Amino acid sequence: MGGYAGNLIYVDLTTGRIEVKPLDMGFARENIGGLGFGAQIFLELIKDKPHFDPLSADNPFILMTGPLTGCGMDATARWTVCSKSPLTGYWGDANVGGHFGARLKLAGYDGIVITGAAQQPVYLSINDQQVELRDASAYWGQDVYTVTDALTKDLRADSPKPGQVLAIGPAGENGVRFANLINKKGHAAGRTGLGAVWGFKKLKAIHVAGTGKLRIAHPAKLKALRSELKAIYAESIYIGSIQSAGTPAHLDVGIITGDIPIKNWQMSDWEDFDALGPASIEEKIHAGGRTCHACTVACKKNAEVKEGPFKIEKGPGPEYETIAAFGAMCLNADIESVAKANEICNRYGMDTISCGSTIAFAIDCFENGLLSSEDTGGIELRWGNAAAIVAMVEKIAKNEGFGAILAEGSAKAAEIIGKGASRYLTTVKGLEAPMHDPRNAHGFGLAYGVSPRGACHEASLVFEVEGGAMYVPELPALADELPEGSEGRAELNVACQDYGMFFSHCAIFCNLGAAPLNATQAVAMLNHVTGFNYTLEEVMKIGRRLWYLKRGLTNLFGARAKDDRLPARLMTPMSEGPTEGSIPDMERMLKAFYKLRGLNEDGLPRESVLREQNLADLADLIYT
Amino acid sequence: MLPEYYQFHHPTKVMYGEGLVGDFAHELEELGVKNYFLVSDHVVDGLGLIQPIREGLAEAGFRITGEFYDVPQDASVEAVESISRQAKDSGAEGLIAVGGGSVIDAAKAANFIFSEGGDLIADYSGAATLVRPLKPFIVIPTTAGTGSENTLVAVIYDVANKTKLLFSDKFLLPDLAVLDPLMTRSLPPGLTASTGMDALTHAVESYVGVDASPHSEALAVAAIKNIFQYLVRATKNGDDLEARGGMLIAANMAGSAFSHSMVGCVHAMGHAVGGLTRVPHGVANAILLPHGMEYNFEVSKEKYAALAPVMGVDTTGMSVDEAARAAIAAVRDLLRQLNALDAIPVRLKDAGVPHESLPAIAEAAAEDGTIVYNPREVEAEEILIHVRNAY
Amino acid sequence: MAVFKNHEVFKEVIVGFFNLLGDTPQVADRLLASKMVIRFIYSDPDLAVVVDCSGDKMDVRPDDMDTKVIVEMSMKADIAHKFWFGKVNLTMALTRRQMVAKGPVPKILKLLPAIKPSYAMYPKYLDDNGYAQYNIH
Repeated sequence: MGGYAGNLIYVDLTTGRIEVKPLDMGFARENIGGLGFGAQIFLELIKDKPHFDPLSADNPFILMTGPLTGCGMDATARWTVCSKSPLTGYWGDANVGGHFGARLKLAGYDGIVITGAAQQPVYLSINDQQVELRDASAYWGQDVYTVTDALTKDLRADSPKPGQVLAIGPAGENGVRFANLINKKGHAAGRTGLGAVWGFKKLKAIHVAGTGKLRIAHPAKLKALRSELKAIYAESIYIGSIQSAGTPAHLDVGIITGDIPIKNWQMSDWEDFDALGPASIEEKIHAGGRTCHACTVACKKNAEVKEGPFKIEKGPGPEYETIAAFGAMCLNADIESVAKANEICNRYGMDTISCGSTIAFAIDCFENGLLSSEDTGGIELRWGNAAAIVAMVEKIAKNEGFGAILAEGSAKAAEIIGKGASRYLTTVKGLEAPMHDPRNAHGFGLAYGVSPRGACHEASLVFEVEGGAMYVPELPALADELPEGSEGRAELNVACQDYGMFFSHCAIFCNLGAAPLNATQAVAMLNHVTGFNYTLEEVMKIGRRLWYLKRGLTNLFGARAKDDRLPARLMTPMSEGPTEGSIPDMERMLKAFYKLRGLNEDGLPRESVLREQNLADLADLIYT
Repeated sequence: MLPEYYQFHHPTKVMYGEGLVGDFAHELEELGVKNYFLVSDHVVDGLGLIQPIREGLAEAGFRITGEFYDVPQDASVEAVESISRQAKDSGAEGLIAVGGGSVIDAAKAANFIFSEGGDLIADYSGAATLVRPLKPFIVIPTTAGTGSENTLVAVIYDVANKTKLLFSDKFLLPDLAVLDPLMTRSLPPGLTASTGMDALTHAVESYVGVDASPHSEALAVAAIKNIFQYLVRATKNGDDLEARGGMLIAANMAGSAFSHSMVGCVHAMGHAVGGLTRVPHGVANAILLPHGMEYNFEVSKEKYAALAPVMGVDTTGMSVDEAARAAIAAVRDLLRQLNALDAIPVRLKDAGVPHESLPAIAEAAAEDGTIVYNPREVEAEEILIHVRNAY
Repeated sequence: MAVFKNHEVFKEVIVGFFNLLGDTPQVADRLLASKMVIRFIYSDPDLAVVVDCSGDKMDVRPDDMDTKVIVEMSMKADIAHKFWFGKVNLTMALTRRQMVAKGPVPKILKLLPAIKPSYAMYPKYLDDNGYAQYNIH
């Protein structure tokens, strides 16, 4: 067998007890890894007390790698985290690349399960066999860049190989509801606010140093697959585009079809838009590239602003989502200010999609007279006011003044602001929608609606398939020509969820870098690395079960059919441009989807369906 | 494959123990003399390290006839002459050196004139100039690096001619080496790291050198293993006496190893860097070791590959090339760990070497005496590439 | 069924449109700045067109198979037609090989902002030049 490190770390922060337990290989075979492990372990931990505040010692936090994490192939650096979301109150998870997951595997562990809460700030130190909680009071309050550098340096001498740091910043400490976790300054487990979970638990960071090796079950076969893929990667224009410009390459492509939300989802094109695009990035902020562990795609780009009000030192640059959120969504054409907002988010540890969208929402409220500069502490939240946007990011991070209201997330902020502010929301289940417009691709609408963690473009592979980056000929729903409009999107969503759970939640492939893989290659890679003999049917089945598990957990935490709807800002047709007049037919898609998935009118998976999926514990929790 | 012929000669008695410096006098009985002249430096004296030695010797009925503390950073001809004169004048019959490489080498060289008279440079420069044993010579090292307490060489700086003189003779080997971790406890992190890396350089270079033998290889391997186990610990926490002891033993073994098989191009480069820029010997060697290993890669890779597991690398499934690369990487990693403790620079640039001196360093390295023992011919032009890489 | 049944009509439409782009400074200036030389190879109906931006003026040369170009793009005429309406998901077209590009990818992608105004021009161009029957998107 290969791929797995073979051990899981269990940390009880309340008692300080640490246990290392061997990974059960039967469990591994059945759940593959990543969220496949995480969700199952989460359910096991909460089933005796299923109702609790996300910001309480009862909320478990689970970090899991997949069998591919750290295997050395392209696009396999990713790993997952999950917990109950402080932002939404539902199931929360995030998927992230960088170097932490691979290093954790090399130290000998597939994942970390954290329960309880510490009284005083701590960090977890993992150095091969040595695992211990240590006092973090010296690091508490430090921003992500500072604590990353400090821990790396302070512990560098303890291992021949440099360690990796996963940390929260002051936003997580301050309980910002969309605080995140960051590895190596720019790789964020971004969505659903799990940084606040750490903040509550007084867990500042995990430092992992490891000198081991990852066993590959069939190295020769893996090598042959690597050669096969090399030719495919060399030919892929999609890979070529993210290699050259990173995810911001989408700014030039997405604008053609109306994929990019502008002015809080009220426009699909804008005369100043190119000021945010790859050419402008290259001219104004680009400062070289970076990569995740062992990945030759190397889509990560650095940014630097040498002078002016938005000066930043060289560091991880803004991704596509960040540029759309702080730029297009706020009608802000100043790319340097976007780089600055990105840096503040990275330093303080905040999700850029939620932060940017929440500010766009606040600007919408301000411009429509629901807020005045008196409410905002003198900050003129106007469209395109770059200085105000950047100032507000910092206020949010510090949970200060009006920032403290926005730090609750836009959905709760709308309740606080009142006066019908919710009409400017872009959230589903409390999570701000990502920067891809369902009016351009209706399947995205259904994907946002039914995603267990709230509006999300990576909770399945709908974005990749309907958006065009992926094509999986072995699965007809992921290969057939899609009719225009909303037709066939329920079938598309179901297949993209099942395959996506396997692909980017369990295995774990990177949705961007692994886009060129077909299903045969993806399953082969998993088998070569693990030595298991999965078939496509099997991984689809495992994926399906995980989807029901996540959906069921979100239902358990209170989500119902009404929470599967899109907000008005996403459902208002454009009067011009490429998506003119188009809105997703949510009723039609949801109806078909509920039927395909066996959901009742409340949006819950039927009890029989859960039992069929071998989710008896979940069925008991929901139905008894 | 075994060498066609080799010999191993190791008359020095080595003793190890915590607190041993106050309690080793009984071992002197068999040397037959009672009156010793003590050589050290002001730093060692200032740390109070001499007092327990004085007391132990006095208790056992030995007499210290005089003490000398003015050994400069690089042992000079002048110091050597003063030591031999003062020792003789004091009525001593033997020498005790307490210190690092300079003190030991100064006393070692002084023993030539102290025992046999004559002129240091004119009569003893070079190798094998002696025909009979010198007077009793005891060494107590206060650094864990040079291993000079266990070698047959002394390096003396000729201030007048700005050259380093090499003396090599089997009769230079000390009679007794006393290894006591309490003596290195006060060594600051920077010196701990650089002297330790010097020992690693001795071990690695002797292991791959042309004159390596099964005996020297065994000592080199044991030294490398200890250094990888203990150097970071000793640098990080000077009071870690186990680590201090492990490093003393490692340096001693590495000294013996290189005393038998000599060193190679790292030392050639190190000597050049030290001669031209005054970067301390250990620091220069530390920085240059991985680069020297790269230089010798093709001819030494089988040996590097054999060292990789000794350095803690899991080599299962690795080819010879991969394992050899992993060994070099392990040395780099060790250097970086020490660097993280602010104990040593990783690049020549950070050691204060001016960029324009690189060609001169390469030239000098290609002419250094140690290159005859390097497994690959040393060409200035090619060594320059590696010196540049180290910058 | 292909939109253009005949080679001659398609050639007139596409060459005419490229020439219109060449006469539109808003588009042409940025293309000329890129110095791009690109050959489009259309099928069903078959046609090859070189758009040469290496000089002072955009030069459109139908049936040129000799010029050494920087980028070569192959696609069906229908896809090209749809593209100029701004209705092609470029990512999907490339992934599914409905468009095949040979040459340096970043250079191709950099041209996208330059040609953005052309999507609005195409339907108008069809209407104004007697090709209204093809204005179907």
